[in-house]
Amino acid sequence: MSDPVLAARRLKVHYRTKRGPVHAVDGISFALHAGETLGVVGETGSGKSTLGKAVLGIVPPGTKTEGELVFEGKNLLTLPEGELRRLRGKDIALIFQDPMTRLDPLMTIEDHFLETIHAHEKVSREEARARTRAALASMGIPVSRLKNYPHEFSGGMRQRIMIAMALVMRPKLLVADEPTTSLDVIVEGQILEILEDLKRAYRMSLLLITHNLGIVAEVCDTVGVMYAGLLVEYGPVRDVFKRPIHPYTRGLLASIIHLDSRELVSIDGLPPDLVTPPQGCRFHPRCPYVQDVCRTTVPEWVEYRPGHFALCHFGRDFL
Amino acid sequence: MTGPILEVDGLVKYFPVKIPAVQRVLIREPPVVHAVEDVSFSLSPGEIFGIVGESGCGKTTLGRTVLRLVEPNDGRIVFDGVDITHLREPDLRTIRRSMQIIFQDPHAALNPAMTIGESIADPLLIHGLSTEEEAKAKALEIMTEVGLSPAEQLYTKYPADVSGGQKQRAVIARAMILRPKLIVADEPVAMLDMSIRAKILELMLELKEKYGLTYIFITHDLATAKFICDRIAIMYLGRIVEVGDSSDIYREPKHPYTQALLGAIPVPDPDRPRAKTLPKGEVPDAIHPPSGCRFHPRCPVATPTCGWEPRDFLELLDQRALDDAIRVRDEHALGPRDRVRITGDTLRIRSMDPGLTRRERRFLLALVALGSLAVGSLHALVGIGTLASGLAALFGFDALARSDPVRSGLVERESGRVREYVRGILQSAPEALTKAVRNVAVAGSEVLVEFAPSSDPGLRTVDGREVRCVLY
Repeated sequence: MSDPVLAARRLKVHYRTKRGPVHAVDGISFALHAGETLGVVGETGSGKSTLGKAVLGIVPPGTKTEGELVFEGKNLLTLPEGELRRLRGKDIALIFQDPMTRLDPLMTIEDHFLETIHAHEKVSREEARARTRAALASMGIPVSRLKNYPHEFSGGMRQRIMIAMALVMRPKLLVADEPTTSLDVIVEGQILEILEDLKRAYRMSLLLITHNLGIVAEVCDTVGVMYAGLLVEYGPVRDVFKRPIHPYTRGLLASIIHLDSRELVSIDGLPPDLVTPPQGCRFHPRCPYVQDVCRTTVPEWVEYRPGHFALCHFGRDFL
Repeated sequence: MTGPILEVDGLVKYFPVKIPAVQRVLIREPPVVHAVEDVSFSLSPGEIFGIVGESGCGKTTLGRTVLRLVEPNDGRIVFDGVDITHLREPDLRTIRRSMQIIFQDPHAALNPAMTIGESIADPLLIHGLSTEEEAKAKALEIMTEVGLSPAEQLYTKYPADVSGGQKQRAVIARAMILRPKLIVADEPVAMLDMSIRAKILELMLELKEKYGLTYIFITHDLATAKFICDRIAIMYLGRIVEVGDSSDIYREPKHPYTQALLGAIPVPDPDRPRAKTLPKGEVPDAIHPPSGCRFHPRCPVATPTCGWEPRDFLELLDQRALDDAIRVRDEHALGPRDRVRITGDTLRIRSMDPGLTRRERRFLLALVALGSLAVGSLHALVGIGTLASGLAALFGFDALARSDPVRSGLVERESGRVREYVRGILQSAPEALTKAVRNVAVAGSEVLVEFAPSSDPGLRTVDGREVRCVLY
């Protein structure tokens, strides 16, 4: 198999706070290959957005990073800021949850694009304009609206504009942090279809960060489940959904309310405070299968099936 | 059987739109947001009634108008046998004890300067129902009941110190403490993590059983609604498009919009990646809602009578313009997009002489500016028919058209050409749109595309439920 486009090895991101370091990402490893989509799911405070920020190199100053985050052979964590800036927006692009707050209300849509293109490439204004028109047209935005301002567009159109902007430089890796969370379910479906098409057309890799397991099932090849700063399970989507190993993944899958739900299921307790995470397995205070060893010993990251990893002392029992 | 606890009849709510003062003077009918339009339903005691729709469909406004947190423009609200539509504030206050609301965002619904316990006890004090000690005792009691335990300890915590789930429990406790009959729950679990949603829904169901509550459950999530609602109303752009027993609606959705909503929900099963047929586009602007059936521009099965209108044709032009080559051809024939005007059911396209280049037009402009041109001498001077017609189109020289046979012939030829082109474009349109065009005619230098007038189908009873669609 070819080298991955993005690989994390024991990646740690610790924020500095008054109460001590927050272990937002605490030693995770994964690999994302060309043309693949990796879904990272987790609940509020699991560290999934921090992971996205680390890939873009936009963690707040004073944040401590450890381990490796390798993009095409370069460790992003140690790359000089200048080089990182050249990558960012060109080879690695990002789309955010709320497109309204990410577009400058005082700039027309066309100016947003021209700025992005000129920041990375020396091309004529005409060439940049042509590329802008093509990028927007591919997202179904009429050329007649180039001179409009962000507030003149609907939510779905804004998100399509954001995607068009992220793609205008033909990135190799697209990081999408909850790209459809602020959208209605029909528009969400439209955006997901667009992302699918793009992936197929350009062999782009997609790192999709979401709390919505339904979306992961529909568009991802691989999924990583985050809990309290750690990946607790990682593997091919089919394996993780059909034969989950970690009790947290099982609980999360059961708690989704979908059209075929027969009963309401929830996970007891609350996610831990990441300044003082629990000893042993971080999920043990909420785990229905907890044993003594879980309270004292950190479980190992074991490959239970080809490419299917889990962080649980009793993983074998759940196979 | 007892009578309904709530009856809503023909409820209407418009919100005025802010426009500049000058425009306000000029426009006879100021624009409004059509948030709720002619909504009627009634609730039996103990029922959970779901109001489901996308953002901007008016579901939240409807919920608030029912409680008169928002004043209706028209219609009637009868709560527990009392017409509260025009009830004055002091009387309304007494009734409000029986009707409470749970807001979507628990982080914003609690006063950050009050402890959890104070917030929960506050309604008793506001309504002058208890002394402070009694209020505290009752608050502690209800806190235990909604799962905020140990209550004594949490009573003195501030909202910032507790989790989202606990905040939502506090909001529910605050709504419950007055022992209401009706609770409007506006997206009560949308802001919560998946793993705790079920807990909050279970709590709501428990409380309902115990106290015989009636809920209006407002949500965008059809899966959650299916789980807890007895009856469901699907809203689209201010109107109910389908309403009935939830089991019926989920088993066999009738309205194409309901079908689309159900089909769009992602299923957490990698073995079932469905080939979705999503409706195109988004919910249109509620200031200028589509005529006829509000869903017609997005509807996959729309018929010519569903309300196709001139701006659907403009939409079609915009879609065509996504392909650069087609855009150039369209603009060449029809002129720039702003040459197209809408009056009533008619689309008017100003014909343009494509034979006239910009340089030639500028040359003519210069001549006119020099003041050396009389209409009569123009023809002789330039000597080219197309130029004359171009100039006429440019400056609206109607006099020229009337006095000059060459010119009027040209206008006819040009208009005929545009008319043919319009027919061609229509062939690339949805069949329903084409059929909704009644006539393509020429009037002077304009091509008129006339559309059949549309009508709203209204809610009709089909298989024990009501549906607003011409298919039934």
